[in-house]
Amino acid sequence: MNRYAISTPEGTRDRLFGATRLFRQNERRIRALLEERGFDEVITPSVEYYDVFTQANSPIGLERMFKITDRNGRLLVMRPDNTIPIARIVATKLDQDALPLRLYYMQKVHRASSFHRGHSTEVMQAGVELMGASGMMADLDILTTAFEALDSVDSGTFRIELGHAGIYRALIRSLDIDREEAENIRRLIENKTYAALRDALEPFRDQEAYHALLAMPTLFGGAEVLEEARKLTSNEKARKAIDYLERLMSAIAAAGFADNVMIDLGLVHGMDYYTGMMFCGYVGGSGSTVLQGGRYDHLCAKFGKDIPATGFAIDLDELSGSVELKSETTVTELVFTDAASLRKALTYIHDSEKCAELAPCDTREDAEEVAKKKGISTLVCFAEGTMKKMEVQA
Amino acid sequence: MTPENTIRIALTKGRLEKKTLTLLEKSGYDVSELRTGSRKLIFTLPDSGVELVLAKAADVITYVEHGVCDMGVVGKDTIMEKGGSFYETLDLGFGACRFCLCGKVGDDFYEGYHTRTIASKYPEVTRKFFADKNMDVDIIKIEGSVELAPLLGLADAIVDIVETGTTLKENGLEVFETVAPISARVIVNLASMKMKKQKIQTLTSQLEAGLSAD
Repeated sequence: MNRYAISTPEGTRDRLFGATRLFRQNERRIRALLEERGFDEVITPSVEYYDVFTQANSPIGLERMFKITDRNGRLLVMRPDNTIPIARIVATKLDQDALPLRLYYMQKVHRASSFHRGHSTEVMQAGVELMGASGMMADLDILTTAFEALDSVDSGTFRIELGHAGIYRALIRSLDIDREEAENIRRLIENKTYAALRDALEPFRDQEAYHALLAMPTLFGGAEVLEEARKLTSNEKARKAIDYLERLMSAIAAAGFADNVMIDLGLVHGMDYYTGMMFCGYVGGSGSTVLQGGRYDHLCAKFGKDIPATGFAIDLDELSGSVELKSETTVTELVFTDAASLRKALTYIHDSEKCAELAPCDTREDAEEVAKKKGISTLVCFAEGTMKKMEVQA
Repeated sequence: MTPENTIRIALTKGRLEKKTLTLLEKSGYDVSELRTGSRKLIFTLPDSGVELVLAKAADVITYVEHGVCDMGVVGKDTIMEKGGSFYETLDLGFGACRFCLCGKVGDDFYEGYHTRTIASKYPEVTRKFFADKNMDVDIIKIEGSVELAPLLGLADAIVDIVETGTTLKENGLEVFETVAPISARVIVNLASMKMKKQKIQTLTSQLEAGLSAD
């Protein structure tokens, strides 16, 4: 047989039984938490015009999007990101009087990845957006939702680290530097490439921002990091951001997540996107970031309305890799019935305390065979309106 | 993925392995079991909470990126070719050499307007190098002795690792230009850096101390 007729594309997978139950278990827990916190679900199209994402200056490059053309030859992409379509909706379709809006989504994104590296091209994301609210309580609203969401899936240890886009931005802008050079420095900070960062910053040795920029990759840990950062810079904007982080941090600690919060001033990804606080979440047992979020006040403006926004997304696939499946009841009774007793049999199945399922068999002998094969110990038989239970020997 | 109290380090087998082991020894770790010529692939260093894994260079990156190893020691050449998401925290300095653009002695590589053909074991490094120069080139991936390609007339030049330059010289080739310097680097998994901060920082400063003990 043609091998493409019987296989799935690289980066995709069939999810069966336990894997699906686990996936849905986490989805249910997070969904319940988000609804408890007052978020409304949004479902957006699986395909959108490519233009939506270029308009928003998407950090996901064209080469990572799956493309299709519509009947008119316009370029469509499989949704590569969940936040941008929601910004499009909020800015163009919703009544601005309804702000602030609490929205959540639970849907897939599709991103092409390099071959043979074991990355999924299809990722289920659970995420929230708080649109039309700025200020500290809005940030704390989203942050505590993030903490509670990771807590709700029962992943064991988890951590969320906090950073602020304003620190790097203030420091780098104080230097006389071109875009390319700045991007190089940003990447070195992001990758914590200490040695090369020192070389790249050498021309700026005499500048005020030098010491703080050089230290950024190492400035992660507890609240003491903020104290350290304060000593390294007198840049007013940077210090304001540091003070802000300190206030967020103590509010989160007071809200009960003192053991789960960290600071990382080396968070400098998405600098064209984030405008304030930003954060990443990790769970024990996973080698990747499972949660990412922050404040992005300029996104909606790309669609014509200036609306402050903050939110985060959880990678449910990555998260599910490090959460254990709560043991769930499996089938304990098989119900065999003749056609005349069907109603009674169905009522029994719905009302049974135990987990029972119908035997898709025309004879009792077949039903017994199925019970044996599946290791179900009790066969419940309905015949001519009467019920009889029998034990099945495996 | 790795046990909570263990730091698992992937080492690049071969030349870098020996130098890394020497460094670990200087930093206070007992690596004697790895010197016994054992065919094992995973070693637990006594009383240290450190495990060593031996792997091919490109696999070191894969294991660290996926978090089944917390840290890795790998050449900058492999990092440049393969890329990936991880922290690159330390330049160990050893294994030093450089990526170079090389060709036949006396050739003027930039003369004329024809599209150059470049042979390399490192197509990605080659692609980036010429993309930065806004030059369109044809890249041919070669697996073995790349020096053959310009000699046989397949390529105008090669991009390859040059250590001493002896092979080039003996085959009538020379370095046209340095592409990038290379040495051994320590890489760290993104999540491990945060979840095992204390242990990784301790290990990093031990390695730094071992380096400066030279």
